[in-house]
Amino acid sequence: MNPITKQKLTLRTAFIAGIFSCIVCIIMLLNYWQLRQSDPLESKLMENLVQQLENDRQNEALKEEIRNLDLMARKAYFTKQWQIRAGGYLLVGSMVVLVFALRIYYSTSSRIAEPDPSDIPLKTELLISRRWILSLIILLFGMALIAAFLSDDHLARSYELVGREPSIEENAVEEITVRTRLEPDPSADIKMDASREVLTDNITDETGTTPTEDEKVREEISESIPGGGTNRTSAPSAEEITRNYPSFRGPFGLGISRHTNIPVDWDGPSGKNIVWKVEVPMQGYNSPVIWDDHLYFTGADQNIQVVYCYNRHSGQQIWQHPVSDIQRPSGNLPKPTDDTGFAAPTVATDGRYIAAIFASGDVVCLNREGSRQWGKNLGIPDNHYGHSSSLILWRDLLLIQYDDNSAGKVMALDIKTGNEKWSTVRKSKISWASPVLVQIGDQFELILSSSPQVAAYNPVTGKEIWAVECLSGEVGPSPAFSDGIVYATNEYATLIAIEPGSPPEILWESNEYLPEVSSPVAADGLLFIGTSYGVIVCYDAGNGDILWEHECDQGIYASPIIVEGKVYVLDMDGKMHIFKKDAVKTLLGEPELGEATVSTPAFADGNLYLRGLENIYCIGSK
Amino acid sequence: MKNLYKIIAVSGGILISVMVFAQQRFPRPDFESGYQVPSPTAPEPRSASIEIIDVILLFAALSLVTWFVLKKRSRKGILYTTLFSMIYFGFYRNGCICAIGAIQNVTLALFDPGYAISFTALAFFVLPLLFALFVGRVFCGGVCPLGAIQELVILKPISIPVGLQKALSLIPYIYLGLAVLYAATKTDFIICRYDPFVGIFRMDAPYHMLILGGSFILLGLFIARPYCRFLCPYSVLLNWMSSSSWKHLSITPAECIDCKLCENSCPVDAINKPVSEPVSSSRDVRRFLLLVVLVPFWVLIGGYIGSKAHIYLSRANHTIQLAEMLITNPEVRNDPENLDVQAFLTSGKTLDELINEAELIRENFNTGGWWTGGFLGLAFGLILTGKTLFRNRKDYTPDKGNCVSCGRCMTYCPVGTPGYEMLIKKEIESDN
Repeated sequence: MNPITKQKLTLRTAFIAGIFSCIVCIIMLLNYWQLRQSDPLESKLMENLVQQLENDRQNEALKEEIRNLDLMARKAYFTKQWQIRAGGYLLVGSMVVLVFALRIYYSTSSRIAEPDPSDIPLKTELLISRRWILSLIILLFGMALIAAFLSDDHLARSYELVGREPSIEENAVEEITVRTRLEPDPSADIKMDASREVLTDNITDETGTTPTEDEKVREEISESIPGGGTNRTSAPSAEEITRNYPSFRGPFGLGISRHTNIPVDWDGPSGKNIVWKVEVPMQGYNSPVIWDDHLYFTGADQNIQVVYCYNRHSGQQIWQHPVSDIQRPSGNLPKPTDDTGFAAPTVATDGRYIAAIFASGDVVCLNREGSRQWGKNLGIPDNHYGHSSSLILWRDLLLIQYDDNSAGKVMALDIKTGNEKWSTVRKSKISWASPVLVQIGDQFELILSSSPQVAAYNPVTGKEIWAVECLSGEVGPSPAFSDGIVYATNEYATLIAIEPGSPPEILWESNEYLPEVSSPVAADGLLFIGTSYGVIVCYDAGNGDILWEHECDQGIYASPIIVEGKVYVLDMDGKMHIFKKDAVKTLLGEPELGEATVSTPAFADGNLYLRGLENIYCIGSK
Repeated sequence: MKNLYKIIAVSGGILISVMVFAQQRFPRPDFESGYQVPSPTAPEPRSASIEIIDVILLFAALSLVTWFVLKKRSRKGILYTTLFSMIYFGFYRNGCICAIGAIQNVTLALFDPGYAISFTALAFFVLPLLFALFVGRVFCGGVCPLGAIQELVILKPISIPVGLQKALSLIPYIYLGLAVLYAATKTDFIICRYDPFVGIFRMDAPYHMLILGGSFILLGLFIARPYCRFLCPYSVLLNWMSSSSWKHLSITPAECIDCKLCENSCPVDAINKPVSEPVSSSRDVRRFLLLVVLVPFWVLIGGYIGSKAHIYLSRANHTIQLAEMLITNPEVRNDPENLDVQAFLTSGKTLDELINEAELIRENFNTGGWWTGGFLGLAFGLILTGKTLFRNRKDYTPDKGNCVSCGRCMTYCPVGTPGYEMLIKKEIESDN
């Protein structure tokens, strides 16, 4: 074969092989794209059919349709896969022919290469090389430096977050070790000082001593107006506060209610002793609060935030107030997890005002008619679960625990104007606990739990009074207080008894049963907790010994409340475990609501109020 | 003699049958429905005896190419060996284990006392380097399957501007540094993961890798051996060995006659042209000394930058990725479709333990970043310094470090050809 014929032949062969390769390539790409669209595991039609089958399990025709559709989808999928594979072989083959033909073509047409007439001198070549190399080195090092400085070390921030894993499966074993732990001073004489006299504005139940009124808080009390709270301008007294249920876990957040005639038996599904039941208008995990005849709570989602007021006797809605038009700083709203939501914090009221806070950082104050007094944003919280610390309203001060990932903070706002009275930056990490207000000696102390410390602050000035580093992890439970002793706890950390003072003294610690979310309650030498894995425990508040324990079928998120000589512990299935407040376990009843619950109950004389995930219940004698 | 042939034939048959049956110790189930078990993307394990044969064949191929390059001076012989290498080491062995990836095996063996490197991996790593030390980069010329596939698709190679070429030649150093870093920290074998040709050898790979491989092939039609020249991390080591090789491919079999016929013959631009006169001046000497003095600073700068970048680099590690994901997006725990997170959550390991592990690994990256950056600084500094050196040359010679011993240039040299011999003979006769 002469060279020219050979050239023509090889060129034509190469041309045909090239066209063929392009066609096969395009077909394969189309096939691949189709394959990506029609993944049999992601079929929407299949999803819908399976969904229908969930509702109609006996439908044989539907089952057959699903099987046929599945078979067809899989056949089509694997056929396409085969086509891609075959196409791959064809492509390789045609490319081999193409390359081979072109090589022969170029070899038959090659000429002796001419030397390059414009020869670059060696010196110039080296200079050019050096410049290019240096430029590339600077570019590469520069890019590496930029990448280095733009990289955030998330592991370094893990100390704020590590320590607790939420329960995900029934059989999952949670073994999270405490990350930091401060041991009490070994030289401290750990003992129970039974003779310590503490003037407290502590709330005891009706079997204990009547509370001592603080002379400083005795205010002129005007006639109360039925149905709406007092028509007053001055802050309520401690006595009035304890007669109501104005905040999370009752008066001062201590978990003790002075109310009487609280039912011990009811049944949600049958309606026994259910006075009324209304649908929760908007989702929220906050607990109801009560002042006189008004029941308050909130609900929110990512778009709407609402404060609700209901008549606690009839269950009728009195008013609702959408919280909107509050100016917020720029930045993305937090994305709370499903088990926290946008309305986890409980409102606080003093009969004149109702204050509410949401996961967005919006705080609002309404009067008892539901009109807004003021509203502001405290700064969008950097909170990966969602802000959940509840409020306390005391002597015209709205006390707010505002710990997030950027800083720990406690502040007080003027309830009438919303202006900041004081704000204290805390040496703490993010927390989901709520503050409690106690009186020790002749001063009030606002006690906050977080990691790593339990601390007390002067509620009037915000100054830190004492602090103990003893907790770790993601702190959910709020402190308890009784007989001058503070009890703080967190799951996988510790349960600790602290005697406030300068310096504070750690009396005892225990780590056998620890709550994750539910807050402990203490009274008369007894301390009660409920764990997220369904164990209710009674400790000797004096030395931390376990007196008794009770296992439930479901975990406990709501906080136990002591009322009328009894301890009410609500589990997540809506079953209330009622025990005698005693060192000996005496189960008085386990009435069921018939609905899942995580909120803490509220009490009034003769009634208790439970917020389920779907309904709010008033329980009492009909 | 006949008996000998019989013995060889029977032995060969036994070996072949061993090769065939050694693949599957546990045969796959026989599906009556016609279901075809998909082939795994990673090759199935081979029996140890077959791997010994692979090593023997590697040695044989290296020796054969050496013979073709140094003794026979046969471009055809090198080409046929290249073809055999592509078929055997590439398509038949699915490109694994290869000398390039063996860098990582060796690194892991050095840093992880619990890792036992196989004899095959070690042999594949060491043998080409030994040959390069003695006879040049014969591995690249006719044995490496990646080089082979690129060699066979070269059509009309064009020369890249010299500056760009020299700058791009820094990339293999970076790739080598990162490959060693990631292997030493047990993060990943990035050379294997990002091998553009292994998907073609196995006829199976993620689509983006097939596209990458195809792109390299298309690029290789006109820019010869792009992976070998601008990416291959093993080429760094071969370059070092080959630069001081005892013997090497020469363009001319005898004395160079300066006919310039080979000047543009090298597809990888690895021919050094004659330098007619020394060009050193006092300024050049000062420049050279300055660059030498700056080398330690390059090492420090490189080490510093490498350590600073350790957070970014460490994110390729799976443990660190998982820990950071759980820290920054804790809600991912509730995503049942995230298999990594679900596997962790059911593993019994705590988040605390995971983070501790991640922090240790990150600390290793910090140390490794210093070393890697320092190595790159040193390499770049020395390369820059090398670009101030002038060597007096009177012949066309292959650059020992960059020449891949493909033998193309040998076909351009007229010295020793019958036509040239006839020309010389005529000249002598006319002189007489």
